[in-house]
Amino acid sequence: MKLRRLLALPAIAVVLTACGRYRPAVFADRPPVEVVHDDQATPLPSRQGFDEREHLSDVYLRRPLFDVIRPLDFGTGGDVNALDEVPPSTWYEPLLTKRAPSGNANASPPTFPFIALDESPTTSPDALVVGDAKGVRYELLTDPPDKPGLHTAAEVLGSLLLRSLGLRAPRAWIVGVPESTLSSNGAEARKRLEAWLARKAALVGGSRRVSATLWPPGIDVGIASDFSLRGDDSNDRVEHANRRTLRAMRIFAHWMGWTSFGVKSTRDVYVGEPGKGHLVHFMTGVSRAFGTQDLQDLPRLDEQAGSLWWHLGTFGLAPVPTTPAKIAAFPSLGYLSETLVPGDFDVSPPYSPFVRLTPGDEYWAGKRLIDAGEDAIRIGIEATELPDNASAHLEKVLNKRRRALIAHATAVVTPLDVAANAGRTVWFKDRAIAAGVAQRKGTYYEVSYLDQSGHELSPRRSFWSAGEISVVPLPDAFEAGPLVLHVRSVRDGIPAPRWCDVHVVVDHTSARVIGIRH
Amino acid sequence: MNRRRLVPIALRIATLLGSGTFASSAAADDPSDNEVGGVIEPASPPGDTARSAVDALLFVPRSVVRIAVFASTATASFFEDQQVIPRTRALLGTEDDAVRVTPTVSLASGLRPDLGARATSRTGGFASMLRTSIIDRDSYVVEGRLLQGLGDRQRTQLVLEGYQERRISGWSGVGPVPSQDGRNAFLPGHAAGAGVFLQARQRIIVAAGTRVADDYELLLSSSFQRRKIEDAPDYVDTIGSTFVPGTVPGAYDRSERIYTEATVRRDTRAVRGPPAAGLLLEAYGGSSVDTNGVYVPALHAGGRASWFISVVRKTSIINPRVTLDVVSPLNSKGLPFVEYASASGFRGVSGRSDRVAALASLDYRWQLRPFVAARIFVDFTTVAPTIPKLSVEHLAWAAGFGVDLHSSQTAIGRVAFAGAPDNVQLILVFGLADPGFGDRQHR
Repeated sequence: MKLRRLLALPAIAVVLTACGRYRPAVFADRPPVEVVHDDQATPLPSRQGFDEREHLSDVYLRRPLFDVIRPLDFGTGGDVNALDEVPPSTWYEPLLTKRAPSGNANASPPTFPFIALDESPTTSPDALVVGDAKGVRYELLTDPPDKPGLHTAAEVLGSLLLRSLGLRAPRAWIVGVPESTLSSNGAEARKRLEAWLARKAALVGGSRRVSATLWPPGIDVGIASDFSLRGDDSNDRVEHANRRTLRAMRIFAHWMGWTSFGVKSTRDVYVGEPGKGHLVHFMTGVSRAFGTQDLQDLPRLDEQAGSLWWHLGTFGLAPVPTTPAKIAAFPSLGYLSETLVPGDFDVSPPYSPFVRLTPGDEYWAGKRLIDAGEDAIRIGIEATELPDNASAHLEKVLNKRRRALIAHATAVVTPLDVAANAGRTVWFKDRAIAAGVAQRKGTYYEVSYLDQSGHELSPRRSFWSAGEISVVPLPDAFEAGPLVLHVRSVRDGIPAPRWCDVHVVVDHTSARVIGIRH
Repeated sequence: MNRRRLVPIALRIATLLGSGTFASSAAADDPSDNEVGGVIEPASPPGDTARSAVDALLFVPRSVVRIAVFASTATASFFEDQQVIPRTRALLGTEDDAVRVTPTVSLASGLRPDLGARATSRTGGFASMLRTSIIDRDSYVVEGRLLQGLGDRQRTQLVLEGYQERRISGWSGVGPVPSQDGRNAFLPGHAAGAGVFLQARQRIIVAAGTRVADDYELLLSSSFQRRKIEDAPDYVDTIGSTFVPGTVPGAYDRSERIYTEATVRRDTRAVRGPPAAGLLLEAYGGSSVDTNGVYVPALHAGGRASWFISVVRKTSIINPRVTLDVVSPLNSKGLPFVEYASASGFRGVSGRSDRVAALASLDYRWQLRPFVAARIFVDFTTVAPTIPKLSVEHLAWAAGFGVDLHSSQTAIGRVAFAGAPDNVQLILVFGLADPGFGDRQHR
């Protein structure tokens, strides 16, 4: 008898899962948060330590086990406002932000002479830490002699592209550094300088081609966890694994070919006087992006290919597959393919926000790629001082990759944003059509009008897209109160995998938007 | 599975859950819209009610994971319990000037849970660690270590360690079959039992090690250890109620002993963490003396040989190994029973001790993904009063399967099931080195 009851439990669970009604979110009737004030004065936190062994245990054991025994989907990011956007904060600084820029807004290139310091670099293990004539700290990185621009261009371009996406990255410039401009301060610093000079580096006009990265633009207090809060920062209130800005890095890192991205790529910097300042959060180490770590002269046996379960089942005895050679189109560039498969990107060790990426997060990342525009790529590449042919190739590749990621990001949701609301109508902007990755022709929208419990208040309607902007009228019979427009795009007969919910509060003359979820 | 062993563990875990020891980390797996999102109630897809119900039911296993893994992963951040000079600069694996305080928990079937905290720090070539844990009313551990690396690559390291504990253990006598060994004087009706005792000990270790060549390490160490052994309170089967009084040297007494050892090791593996081909040979010799002259001085010697052979893939490794440990008393005075040799690398429940302990094992280990490897293994062990008397007649064996976690240079931990003819054991070890290759100072 007990066994029968036990067997019945899964059946009941399946029935319950299959049944039930969709219940939209309930939003507070209030203006959306436009700025997160996480820049309140806070004591200087301690330097955050990092233990590789502890981190690996955590990402490979505890977090996957937690995820396996947690049947609920990952939720919306905790840094997302009612309009499904990320308001500016110390983590996210869109170019047209309403908050004062912090960190390194007034940064400038270094001035000679340089004095080498006895300090460990942060941006790259191969960098040399120097102070310039004004006493500002920079980290100098060189290129291999036969690949001028490989790392230095990545450092400068990556930094600019990240900032164009609204993320913080240290400022970097290409500088020609003659050996005569370098000296050292003390015996230990001299050792570091001599080791750096002994390394063969690409020269331009007799000077080392160097990327000079201004770091840190405050007090570096260590690595930002990819999972949990920082215990000694009262401004840090959203679990890092639940931050959309970090989840979206999966899309951005894919675009930039940043396969070595990980927890060590995010660092916290305290800006302001100790006790009166606050933390801001930076991405570092971008010299490893753009396929600079993926170059491979010859085909190579790939022992790691295949999933964990494949290796478990085959007892590690399956033949080792071979990966082809990965050769850059130009010596100044890394291996970055023109084509990519959206979604086919991950990093090792796993980065927890990537694991939690939702379609809504991907759509937001896609919008950031749209907003950054082709200009960001062009301006960024100009700053790298790469040869013209390499620059043109890199620009073409980045644009193609960007477009593929935008197309996918706008296809995993119903990519509608509210452009305006006038009277009892809501005007939608179809971001896929606006970005040119979908056509007006063949696109229509299905709209259900729901109350907050998910009951249909009016029959479902369908209407053809009018282009970038389409107008959705509200049902005449609905007089006033909260209403959910449950909208799905259908393109060439194929419905979008997810509906978009637009929450409005309606009265006799107007409709006010209080929430959106994709 | 040995149900009698697992039930008390489950009860202890339930007790821990009730105390809410780790409630503060619950937020990490509960993402939801907060005040920024303006959401009063999140959306609920069809079927979400059922999934929420299942989610609630999974609270218990989730909490078990939280305690068993979260806490034990934190223990991965301390020194290994063996003297190894890393190939690369790898003191502690922490950043410069960083201090880390982490909770520690160790769970294993048949043993009491060990709860504590550990602080580690490093500044340049200097590292330090302080650990304390409380096992129960009668048992605790306090440990401190200071480590100084010398040279550019820190190929020479100096270590000073202090350790104090009170812990309950068991002693079943010497020989491969204690009940048939005339050296043990069991009280009538107790020949198959183990005497439970409470050991209080303090230990100081001074050690120096250097990597004299790429594959060769030379280690010198000396320790002073004070032990006091008495019957464990609240236990019926104590040493006093199992053995004839006065026949177990070292029991009910305080002994102080200095042990000095020299070890040479050749390890040709490029890395010690991931599966890698190579050869590991280790030989050691040492001596121990009782500072009060009550117990016998002894010579200690032994070695390990382990061959790592790749098959099909570089990271699929067959690993046969043998170990031998010998303790030779130098006169007829008694040797404290805790000084006898035992095969510490055995992955089953053996409890065998004698003047000679031998272990032979065969592992097959393969990479599942970066930093994660699986292994199947079988171990055989026996003990004897002399080397010629080693015999395969009364072998203890265990076989099992496990998954281990490693960094590029060192093992981090492992979870394994080991089965033997009379029991099944769950082994969960994080932050501890494989005891099969550990040194004698830390036993």
